[in-house]
Amino acid sequence: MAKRKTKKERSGDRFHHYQIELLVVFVTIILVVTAILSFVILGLSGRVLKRMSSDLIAANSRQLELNINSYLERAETISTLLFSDESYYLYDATDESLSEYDKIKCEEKIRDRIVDIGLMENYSDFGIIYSDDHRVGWISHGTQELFPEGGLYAAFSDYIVNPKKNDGWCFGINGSTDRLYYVKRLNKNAILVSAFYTRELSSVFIYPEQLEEMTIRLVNEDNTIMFSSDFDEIGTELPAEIAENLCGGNEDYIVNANMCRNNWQVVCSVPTKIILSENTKLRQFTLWISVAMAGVFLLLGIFLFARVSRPMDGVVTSLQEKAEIDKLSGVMNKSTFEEYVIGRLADHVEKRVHVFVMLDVDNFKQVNDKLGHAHGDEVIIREGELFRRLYNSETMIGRLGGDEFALYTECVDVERPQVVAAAKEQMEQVLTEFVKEFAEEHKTCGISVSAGICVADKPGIGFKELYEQADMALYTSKRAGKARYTVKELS
Amino acid sequence: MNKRNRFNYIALIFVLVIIAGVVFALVMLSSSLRAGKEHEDKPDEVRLLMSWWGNDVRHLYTMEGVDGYQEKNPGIEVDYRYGEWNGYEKRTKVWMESNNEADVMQINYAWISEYSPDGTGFYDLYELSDYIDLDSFTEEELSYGEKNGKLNALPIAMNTHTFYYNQDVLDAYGLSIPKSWDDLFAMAKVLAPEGKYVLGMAKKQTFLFLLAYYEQSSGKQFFDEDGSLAIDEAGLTELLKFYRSLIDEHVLCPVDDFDRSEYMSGTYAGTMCWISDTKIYCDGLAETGVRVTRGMYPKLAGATRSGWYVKPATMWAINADTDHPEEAAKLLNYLLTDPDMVTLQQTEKGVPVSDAAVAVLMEEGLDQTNEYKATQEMNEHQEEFSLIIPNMENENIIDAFKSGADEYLFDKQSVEDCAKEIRKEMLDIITAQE
Repeated sequence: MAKRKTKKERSGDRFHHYQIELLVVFVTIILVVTAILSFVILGLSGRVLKRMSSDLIAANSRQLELNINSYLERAETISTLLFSDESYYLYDATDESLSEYDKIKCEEKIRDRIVDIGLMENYSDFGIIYSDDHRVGWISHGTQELFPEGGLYAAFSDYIVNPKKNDGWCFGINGSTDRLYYVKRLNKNAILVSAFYTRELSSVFIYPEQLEEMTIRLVNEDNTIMFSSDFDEIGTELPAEIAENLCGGNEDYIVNANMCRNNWQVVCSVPTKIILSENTKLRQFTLWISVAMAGVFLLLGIFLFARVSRPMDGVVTSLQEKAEIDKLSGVMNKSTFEEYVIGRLADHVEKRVHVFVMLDVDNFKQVNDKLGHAHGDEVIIREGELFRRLYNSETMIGRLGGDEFALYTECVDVERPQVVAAAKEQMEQVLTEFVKEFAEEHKTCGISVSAGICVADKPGIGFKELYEQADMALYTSKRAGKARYTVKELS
Repeated sequence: MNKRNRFNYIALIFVLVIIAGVVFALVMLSSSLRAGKEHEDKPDEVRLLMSWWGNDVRHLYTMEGVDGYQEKNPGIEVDYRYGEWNGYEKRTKVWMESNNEADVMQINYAWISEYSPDGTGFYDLYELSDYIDLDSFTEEELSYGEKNGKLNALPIAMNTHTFYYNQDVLDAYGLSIPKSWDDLFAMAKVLAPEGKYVLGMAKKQTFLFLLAYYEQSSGKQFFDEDGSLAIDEAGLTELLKFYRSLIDEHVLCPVDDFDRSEYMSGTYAGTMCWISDTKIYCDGLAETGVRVTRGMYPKLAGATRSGWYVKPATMWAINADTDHPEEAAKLLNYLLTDPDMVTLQQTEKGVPVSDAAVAVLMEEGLDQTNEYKATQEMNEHQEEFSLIIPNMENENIIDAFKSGADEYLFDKQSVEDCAKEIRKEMLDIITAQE
């Protein structure tokens, strides 16, 4: 016989389905809220972060501008200390009227002065060059090597471009990019040349740790990089993508430029992606915490599902049973039985034979009258138990009212005569077992059971017709003397 | 498997997958938090100050080496002070006397006696032996930096003077490497008419050159072992006369006229310099295609003293009051033994004494260098070299000699008066040391 889900089973599935749906909706809401947090709010914070970083870079750039101005100014100021005594700045080594001895003594004095005023600075060069290229003080070998054919004085003199102070700064002389020179005229035949290694500016261009990815450059008016926190860039041209976006930057860089002394510029730049990398990390952080939260809630939901839904399931099942099961007999009540049989009949199944049985206890009234209603109820209870015991689970059993019961089952791919024979055999057993079960009541009250069986293989047959035909067969059994059954076939 | 079991099985897998997902998410989360925490927990930066003197080459490679040290030791920042030798001694005096010296400093051998007479002027490196590879040095090498049982400094290299000659100039005038003082004068007779000198050298070298002659010719020491002045006025008088004759006869270029570029151009046939300065005097010349030949120490026949001295080239020491002895010791060890630093430094300070450094340089052809050959010769004739007496390098004493000698060279005073004045000034300087 075909196995079908009972209404109870279908109802339970629906309940579980609702629970899972609720869980999914719950988790989905968490994920959606997370997505909103991550992609909308964090997107907004990205823009804020970019703006704030830009402000921070601007403030930092301004500070660096002040630092470099101060550094350059100090170098210039130290040089002016050579003007503290005429013997330092008026001495002319090319003056032929001076004796060699006088020159030696003058130069010793100048040398001492240079040591004194340059004592605490990291100079690569600090000395005086005379118009015949004679040198006093620290004019380094590196500087001399830039002029293998001589001509130091003439070359450095060309960089004195400030007519008021008679000085000037220069970078890149004869391809030298490792130092920055300051030149100041002392007299018509003498210039002071001081220099420091460009990498010394690392101590000037100190920037906050938060901007450690920032590249800081000092560029001259030709956009040649005189210093860069990336030493490899020194001496090269400022990259076009930075040079063309000195005010604010573009999509790829945040750039800020500040003009300092000598029309040089401090240019700070940070790749935008570096600035936003913190935001990306934050986004990832939020994503992972959301995933973890969603997972935890899901597990919590499953836990609650397991702990709460099972008892609930029991309550639901209990309520459902109360609604569908006849309290006294333990079988379906009339409406449930009818609904289930109608449902079964509505299924399209080829070649099936319906068996509908109506059962009624004969002389049941005598039980109530003689043994009391309570015993009557007990007979109903035991009758229900008897039918459940004698019929398999595929057979629907319902109590239609009073002492009247109905059975429905169906056989597929079996010929009607065979079904009739089986139904009869089954009914004989019912009659026999009934007598055994109720032997006492039979003796006292004369109860027995009558049945009407309708066996139909008529396609499209309905509940009403089956019921009526079985009822008519029952009536026939009653009229024929009770304690028997009558089979009615329909085709 | 029935339907109920299948459902349970699927549910179990589902739960396990979710648990795995949660665990994964938590791991990612914790790594994200850890990354942030690492950033926050960045240890406090240690800032060291380091100082040295030297030339362009030394400044640049030392700064590069310091960059390397900082890369290898995150969290340690090294600032530096550097400058030319001239004036550096004065700088050092200012720092030492004002307790403002660097954590790690290059010092001259003479400064151990000057600034640490009882051995407490510099950090005792024996206390930092966990961080410094002292096994790389022989006991004798360590002894140069010892004072009162404390290791005040470690030598970078051993150094003495050597002579280099421009072989092209010698060949042009049919000259050969001089072996004696007389040879020098003989060469001068050939070169003087051409406006050339046999030798040109810096102020300190001139002083030590003359000191060698004095000790050879007199058989006496210029300074006693304890640094006191041994030469008398008569000895100084004779030495000044000899000095003048060197200049007048074009054996030696006047100190004030000495210019290294003139040596390059061949105005001087040769020079006397520290072995550690070989690169400056030889490589530049060799790059122009000129052949350079190492010379011999001029000797006086029958001399009982050689007059030539050896010293630890320069030394590294640590400030006695440094706040970061461990980090300073690591930096010092890096400067002396780290292969990267040794490769940068090469023989710029002379042939290193550290075995570790020598091993690195040997792989790079150390034994083919002029410095190595000069050092080998020094080692082979150790009996001819004495350990330098610190006052021989005392800048004030050398200045007193030079300044006083000028008075005689330019006929401003008699040689006797000059000798008297020089001696008095030298004695004043030495007395002030006490």
